[in-house]
Amino acid sequence: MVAPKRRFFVPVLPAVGLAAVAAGPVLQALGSSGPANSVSASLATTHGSGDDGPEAGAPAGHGTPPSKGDDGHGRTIRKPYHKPKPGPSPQGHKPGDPTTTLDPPTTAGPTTTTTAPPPKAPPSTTTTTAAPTTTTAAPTTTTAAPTTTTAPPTAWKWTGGRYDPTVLHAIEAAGYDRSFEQIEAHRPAGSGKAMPAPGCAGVVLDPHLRTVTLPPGVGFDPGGIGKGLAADLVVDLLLEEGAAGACVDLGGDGRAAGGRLAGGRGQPLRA
Amino acid sequence: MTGEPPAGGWRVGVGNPYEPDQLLAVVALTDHGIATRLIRRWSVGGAPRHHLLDPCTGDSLETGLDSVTVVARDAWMAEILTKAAFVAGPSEAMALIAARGGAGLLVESAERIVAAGEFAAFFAPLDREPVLCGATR
Repeated sequence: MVAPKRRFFVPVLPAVGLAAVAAGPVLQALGSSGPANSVSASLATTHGSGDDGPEAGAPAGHGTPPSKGDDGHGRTIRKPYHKPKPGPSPQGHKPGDPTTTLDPPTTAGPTTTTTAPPPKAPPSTTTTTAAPTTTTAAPTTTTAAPTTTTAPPTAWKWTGGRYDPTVLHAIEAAGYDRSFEQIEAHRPAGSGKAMPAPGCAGVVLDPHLRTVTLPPGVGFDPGGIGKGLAADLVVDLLLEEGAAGACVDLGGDGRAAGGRLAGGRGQPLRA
Repeated sequence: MTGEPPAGGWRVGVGNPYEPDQLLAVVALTDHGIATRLIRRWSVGGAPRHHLLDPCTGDSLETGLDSVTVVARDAWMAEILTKAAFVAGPSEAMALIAARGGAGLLVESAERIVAAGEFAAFFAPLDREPVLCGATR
């Protein structure tokens, strides 16, 4: 019996702008070629990473099978890391479909037209003294996104698979299927058996419907991006609602904007 | 109105992986995301495990890093970079973080703490309590 593919929706918040913001980083992290391209382009500009193709930012030497090496401090580490490889096209997926695998072609592909609403344009002026946030300050990139001819950078790809959201079942097997506090209080229930993460090659994104379809047996672990993304969204919302600044911590992942210390004096604010 | 961010920034504490009640550093952020990961260990069937896994093998990572903090434009980017840096190990983490415009603080041991990229530019004086001390895992 073949397990069915599972589909779930990327969280969509009520406001159109936030919906785009919410889906953008997740899809971009996974590898969408749809509207999330606007976020990708924005980040590429912001961070000035130059060549922002699929392999941009990858450490030198990655792309070959893992091997052992010395880190220069007398320890043995594995390097370089593996290079994600394209997986088979999902059944029914045809070139030009709005859906895309997480490992799109690196050469020019078919031009796609998206009907998804573009991210809400940022206001020309705001009531905050903070600089506009990255995720809402890219109005010029949204128009170019639908006709982009190069594959977008993806976190899974540009980290050479080091960031891999399909690590869910592996991390459960390691015993991390509950909070740290519960792990410390009770004996972990994981099998303890190491199991490799399958990778993102077979995952299909539909930027129009904002859905993610996982191949059978592949789990999605939002733990490597979820809290950070939530912190970004909360800060963006606070600024949109008129806050002069905000600082949000979600347990190890935080976002600050509009910080003001009056030249280093005065009491710090707490958001 | 939009414009230059005000001087100073939000003071955010970075937890010390070896002394839970102490801070390793305090950074001042104006419009940045920050994420910290550190190793928290347990055992399964007598075998030591932790939650930072090598995706290739599923084994708990042992690359010589005990804690990684990344400052980036967005918190989600910072979070991704901390995980990738952990997997990459200390010799490659700096390049990986810098390639995405981030800055990192790599803790290899209590005696060896390395600031990657422009992280030193974010250091703030330790003379006052930080706004947040949440960046501890």
